[in-house]
Amino acid sequence: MSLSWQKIINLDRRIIYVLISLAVIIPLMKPLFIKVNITPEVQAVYDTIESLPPGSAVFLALDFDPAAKPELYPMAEALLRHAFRKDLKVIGMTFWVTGAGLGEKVFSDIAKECGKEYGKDYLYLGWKVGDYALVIGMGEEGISKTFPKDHYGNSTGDMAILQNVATLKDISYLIELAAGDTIGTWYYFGRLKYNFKMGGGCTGVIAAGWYNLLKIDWINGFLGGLRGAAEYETLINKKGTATGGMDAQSVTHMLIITLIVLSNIIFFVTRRNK
Amino acid sequence: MGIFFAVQYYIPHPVTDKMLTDLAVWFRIISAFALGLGIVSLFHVHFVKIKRRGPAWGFSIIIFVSLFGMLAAGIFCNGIEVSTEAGKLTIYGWLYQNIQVPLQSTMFSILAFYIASAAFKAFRAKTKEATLLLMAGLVVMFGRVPLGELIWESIGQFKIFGINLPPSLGDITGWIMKVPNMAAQGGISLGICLGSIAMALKIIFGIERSYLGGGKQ
Repeated sequence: MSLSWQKIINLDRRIIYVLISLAVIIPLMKPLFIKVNITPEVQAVYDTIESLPPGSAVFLALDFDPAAKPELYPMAEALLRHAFRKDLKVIGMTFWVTGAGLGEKVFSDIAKECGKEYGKDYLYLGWKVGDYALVIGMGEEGISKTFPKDHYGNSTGDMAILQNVATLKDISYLIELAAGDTIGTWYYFGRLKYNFKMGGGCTGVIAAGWYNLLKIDWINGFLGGLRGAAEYETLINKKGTATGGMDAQSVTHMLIITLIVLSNIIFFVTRRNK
Repeated sequence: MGIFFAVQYYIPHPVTDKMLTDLAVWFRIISAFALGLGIVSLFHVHFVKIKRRGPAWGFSIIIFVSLFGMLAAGIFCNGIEVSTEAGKLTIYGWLYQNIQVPLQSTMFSILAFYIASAAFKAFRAKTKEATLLLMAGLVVMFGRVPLGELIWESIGQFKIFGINLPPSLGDITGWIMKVPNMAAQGGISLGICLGSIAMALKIIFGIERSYLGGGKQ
């Protein structure tokens, strides 16, 4: 008996890898589409965008790279869809040079889908060296002075979108999608000085730390990990990769829980036998 | 400079705002040079490694191929576009979307396999603290996915003295995240802030100089 317990506890890790692979692949191929309940944090971001009058300016900071794409890219898609539906003006940029291409893709794809015009309805500034100095520059000097050229090399000075949104002071809502700690940069050098509302989205790994930001009023709501993205897709009634991915995440979580419980049962049984 | 950045927050005035703007411009210029310096440093480290046939020097060649390949695609291809299933992409864009994005996503995804394996092999309720962590982790893992919520809802609820029992899974995970988690995170954040202030003061007043390189001061 003890020997068979030992066999399970010393299970070849490659078997675990195969189980995880199956737990991800099968639900992706045969989605269950289990209902996703909405949490108050996600509802708050949705309600804020919903409450903005048409023509208001939303700033989307896409501070992530391809490693966080599965979680944060669907958030960017859902948020952009919502903002464009509400006829909001959206300006985007990134602090992560390796994420500049993802930002370009999400803006161009969703704008095309929603029939929005570049330079009038939305603007993608891309990446530029400077970190927090860019936030100060956009707040004090102006967006077009800090970014004289956009991601594509076009001059921003005469773009229609920037005629009414000269600086960060004219932003109604800033949404930070972060895979790291860039939210501090937007808060200390942006929100504290220019008083715009802030919300966000982050990877599941750092979501636990963001509840504190809600409490201290840095942000009014946030989308945590793939779950947050799936909730937002549910709210805007447009299922995307996050909703599909939730089934895979559900099954994977259940598998990991089973493995942990099983290993602990074996641990207690073998300890008692000793 | 450090003192100015700290003090200007407490003196909101056009003069301090102007100084902050000027400093921000300087910072952007210095950052651009720092980026160039970083590339030179990277080049130097890996060039020396290849020259001396150091450990894993083959990877240094891959760094050069990637670095110069992307540079060449960006500079010399002059925006030439290639047709793909996803529409037209520049050669730089194609390399980015088809090499960098899948590579980085794969690297991060591999974590799921290691976490599952490590959890099975090492996550044991050996002490009271470990048991507490284990229980909280299991509840949050179970409650943060729709399948867990569906299973929990299937148990049903009943009322005792006007209170719904068992509480919804969302309420339980929400309480864990918003009460004990937030308290712990708050404590950690406060500690980090105090440590950062102490370190910043040491750097500003020249007590801590190891970041400039060299040995112990």
